[in-house]
Amino acid sequence: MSRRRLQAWLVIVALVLAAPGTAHAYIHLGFDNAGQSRPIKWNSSSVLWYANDRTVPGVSPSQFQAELAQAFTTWESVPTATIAFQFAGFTSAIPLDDDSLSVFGFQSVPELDRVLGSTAFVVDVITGSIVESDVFFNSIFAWSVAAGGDATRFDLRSVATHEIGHFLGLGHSAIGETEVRTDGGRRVLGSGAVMFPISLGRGSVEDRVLQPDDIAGVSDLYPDGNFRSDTGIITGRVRMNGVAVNGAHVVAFNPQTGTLIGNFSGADGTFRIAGLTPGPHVIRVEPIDDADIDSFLDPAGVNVNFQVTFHDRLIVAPRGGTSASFDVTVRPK
Amino acid sequence: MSRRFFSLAALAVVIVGGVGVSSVAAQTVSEPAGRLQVGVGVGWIGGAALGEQPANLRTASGGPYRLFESETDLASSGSFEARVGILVSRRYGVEGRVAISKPELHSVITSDAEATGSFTAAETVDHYVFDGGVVVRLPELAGMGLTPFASAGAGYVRQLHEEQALVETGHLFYVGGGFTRPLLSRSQGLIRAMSVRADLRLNLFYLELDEGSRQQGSVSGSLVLTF
Repeated sequence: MSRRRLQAWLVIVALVLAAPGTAHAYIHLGFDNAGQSRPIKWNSSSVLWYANDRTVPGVSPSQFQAELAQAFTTWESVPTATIAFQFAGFTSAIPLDDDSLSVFGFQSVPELDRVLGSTAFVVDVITGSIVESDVFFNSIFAWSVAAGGDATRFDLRSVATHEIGHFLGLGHSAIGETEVRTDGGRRVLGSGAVMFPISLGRGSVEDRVLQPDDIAGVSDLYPDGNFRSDTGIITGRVRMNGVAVNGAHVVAFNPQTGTLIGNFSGADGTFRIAGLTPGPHVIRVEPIDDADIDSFLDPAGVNVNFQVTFHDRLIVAPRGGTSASFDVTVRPK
Repeated sequence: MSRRFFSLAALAVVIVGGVGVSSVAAQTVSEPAGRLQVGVGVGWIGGAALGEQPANLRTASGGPYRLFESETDLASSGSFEARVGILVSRRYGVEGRVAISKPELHSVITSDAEATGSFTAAETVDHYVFDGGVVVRLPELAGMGLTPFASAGAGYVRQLHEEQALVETGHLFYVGGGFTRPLLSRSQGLIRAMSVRADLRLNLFYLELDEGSRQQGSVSGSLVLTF
């Protein structure tokens, strides 16, 4: 079988300083293959990664490696997922080179003046398997490795945890709320996922800790033996005036645990939210209006002209199964 | 509502039990001992507040940002019950019961960051109770044709969400009391006695998805045949 390789910036999966942000849940990165959408993921049980040996003010190569190792451990420690990483060593190879090495490093990219970091992939487009993934951290910003954070710098481990989510194949989550600033950027009021596209800001170390939406996303992509049988899936469809709504952000809220896990509706209005604790859930549907649509989805055809809607039925996530599909009808703005 | 009901039920038990200890027997029991009793009836089971839960996001400092608030409760509902028991003596009996109800589970959403007003999401739950316990009759307190009793027991609960999409099981304990009133009593024939019975209970449910116990009062009335 011939392997076609595609090097693609599948998403500029970056944390933006004060750019758009939204409230969402997890989404898996993927690509279309012969009309079928396929998620991308690593197919090896232990993924090798390299650290670029460049230094930036406040972060030595060894500190860089140590912070990344802690961020990797955060993802490895999810009890319902099986994925492992192995540090392969320091390298002078540059992130984003197609060299079969998965390299993390600092790079100065002044033209991306709101981008803290970004992840790119080389993917086997036949199998969806990730062949290589590189991550750069934009060295035009000041970085911190301080245990409690530094109010004037961005926390490296927090941003690394986010980028490693992409490295695993997760897209952005929209579980968060933002407000528009006077300069046109956005300020995060609250974030419900490490994979929210906008940073909580300088000094914050909150994104070192995964949230239920992140855990559901990575577990759905790399499930351990009991994940499927211990959790449930909710499926449904979002409609407005009898027509499917594309790109609606659907969040399942567990009124017992307080967890928020979500996903987006597709072009046919259908959505699927996996990794839910069995039990009844409140369903909240909102348009993507807290961040740029392309932070999450291809903007073409995405409908944002509807009101925030709560479904009038509690939807039960069955243990080890999938709910009966249901329709949520939203109203135009 | 359920808490008020709980107090009422507890009060009834205390009065019935307390007075029973010091009273003098005054009236015989119509239903003969050692015979099978079968009853069917209808009732009402009180609701239960299942608590408030905010949908919180994190802020940069780690504090909460409230996306919305929720308050969930199980509504009161009618119930159907069937009971089988036996009076082992004039005072003591044992019995088993099946009760079926279909309460609604409600979550009321308020204070949404982006939507005004409140919203309610609901589902109907099929609630099955299989319990058994002891009945202590108190003939010394009988009056106006009514014989009071106290009861206590334990059982198994099976709760089906959304047409069996999810089965939740657990157990319950109950205490209660009530009275019976004889309608018919005879020394021959298949049916030896017939009576009506009223029950007042406090139920403590322990279900898989709940944190801690859920208190729910219940009342029921049934027709009892003694064979």
